[in-house]
Amino acid sequence: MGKVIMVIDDSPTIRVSVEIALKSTGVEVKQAENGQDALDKIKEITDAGGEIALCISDINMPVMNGIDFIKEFRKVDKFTPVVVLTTEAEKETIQKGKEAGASGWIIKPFQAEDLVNVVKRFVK
Amino acid sequence: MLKSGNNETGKTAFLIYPGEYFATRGDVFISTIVGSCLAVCLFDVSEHIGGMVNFVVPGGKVTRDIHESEISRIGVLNMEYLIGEMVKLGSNRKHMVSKIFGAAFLSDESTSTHKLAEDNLEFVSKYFHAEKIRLVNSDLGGEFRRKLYFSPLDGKVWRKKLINNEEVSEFAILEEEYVRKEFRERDRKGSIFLFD
Repeated sequence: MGKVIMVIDDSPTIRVSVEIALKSTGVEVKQAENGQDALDKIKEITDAGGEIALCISDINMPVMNGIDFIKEFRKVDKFTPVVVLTTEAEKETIQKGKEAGASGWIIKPFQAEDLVNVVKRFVK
Repeated sequence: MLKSGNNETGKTAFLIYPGEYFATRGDVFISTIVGSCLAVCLFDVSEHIGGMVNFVVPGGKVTRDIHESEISRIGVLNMEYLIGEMVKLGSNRKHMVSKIFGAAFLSDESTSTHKLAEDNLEFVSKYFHAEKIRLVNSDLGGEFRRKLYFSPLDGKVWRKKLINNEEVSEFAILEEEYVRKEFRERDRKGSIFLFD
């Protein structure tokens, strides 16, 4: 298993849209439906020898939200970039994300081309 | 959005205008008037949280898959605004059911409203299928506007057909302006911030 982009969103529509948008990057995409699901899947992937190249995470999710996911993820991985993809546009929430360890913040709606450009910046 | 007392029931009512959404777990009413737009009511049967959004998908025909369509993108965004608010209140989309209203073919407007209504119906059908959100009731089409009262505490909706399009002059104007604006700005995109 090589590099993997983990897409974390409770909306199946958004997860599939992001995966389709990222096809052109050639990087394998895995999906998780909340922060806890992502942590579990990331552990499975890294235990199997895979490498998480980037996480793209929503904020408002049940079970574990995006901010808590970033905080937990940063306990085990300080360097892999996490880009938030959300409808949340309030400065306070963006600041919380930045303090938790987010690398970037994309406010929906997104266009595929812009998402690909952000990914290319973080995934070499 | 307009917050007001409801004299008949004693409950507070939140009146949402075209393009707005509201979610709560309170014992209140969420109300709107919908014409060619869509009013979607979502109810979390587990947490008893409800919300309503009144929006339009500024489409031409949704010819591509919902995941790739530039037009559906705005419809998905509107649904995400509402669902995001409900999730913040403790809801989970897996426990949500939906009721949808509107998409009227209004004779007092241009014939393009027929196509608009069809496109909106196609979007919600595909969206709820993709999201696995069960549609429990719908009242769509027709040549009249609808006045809705939604109880987010139990998911019930009271619908009045405005056959003579009474009570709607303000809403009719606002809806027309909103639809025009959504078409004008349908290629919009959100901001991107990259942190050091």
